[in-house]
Amino acid sequence: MNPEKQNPDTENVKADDRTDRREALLKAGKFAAYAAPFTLLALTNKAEAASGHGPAKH
Amino acid sequence: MIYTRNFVPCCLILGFTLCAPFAAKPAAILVNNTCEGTCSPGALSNGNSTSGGFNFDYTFSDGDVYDVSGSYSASYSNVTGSTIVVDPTFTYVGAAPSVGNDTLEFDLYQFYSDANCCTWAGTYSETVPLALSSATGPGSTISGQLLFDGQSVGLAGPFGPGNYLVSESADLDFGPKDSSPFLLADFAFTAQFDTGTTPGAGASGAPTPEPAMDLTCGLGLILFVCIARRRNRPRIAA
Repeated sequence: MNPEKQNPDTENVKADDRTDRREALLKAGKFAAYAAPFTLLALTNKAEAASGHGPAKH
Repeated sequence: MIYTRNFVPCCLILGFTLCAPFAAKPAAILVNNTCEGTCSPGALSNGNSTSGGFNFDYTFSDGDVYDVSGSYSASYSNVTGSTIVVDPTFTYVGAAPSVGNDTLEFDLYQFYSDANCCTWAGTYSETVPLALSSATGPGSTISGQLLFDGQSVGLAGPFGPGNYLVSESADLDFGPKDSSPFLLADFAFTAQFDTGTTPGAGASGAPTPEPAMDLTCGLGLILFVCIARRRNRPRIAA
């Protein structure tokens, strides 16, 4: 017997969690939209600097 | 709420991620063989990275003063290899045109450490953007190169006023040092400012000299989001 399926309160909690999760995802999306230009600026600046690369010891 | 519950740990993780590189042992910066800050470069082993900024004045014996500023970063992975990035800017900050020929030799040193067997020999590459102001004295030049254990990947310049971008790669073999646990990188720039350089004129290891704003922008953005979240909390809870 699954106690979660027998308990309507648990079902309500799960529904609330889903609503909260949806809210969180929406907010995260807005955060990403705000952050994108700054990330692009940072990447652009890095590309302008002098840089070098070498192999790992092998 | 789940959002609030997840947001705080995310901020903490992001904060520690941003701050962790600054806790690593920094690279060493020398100007005309004089240490500016840390004299012994740190050694980066597998998974390590470092970054930082610099901003100081260098005064020549003839009284000419230059500001040296910029930022750097470096990393090492025993899978993907070594990286090093730097964007030095040299600016004449005297009140009147310079009185002598001044040569600034800038070196950023960084050790990489790998105790595994075998060799450091292989193909190394560099991308060297250079810029020199037209307000520098006649005959002024800028050059740059990346060296590993004293061997150059390729010399970019010397160039006169203008913007330049040079990409080079070279197969380097370090002989007896191949199996050493350590490899020393040296990103070297030489700015020759001749007499008559006007105040504010400069040279750079980047085509469009920019202040080190990345960290400021990032922290400002995080602060903005935190404040916005705190102000909106009653509405979300309602």
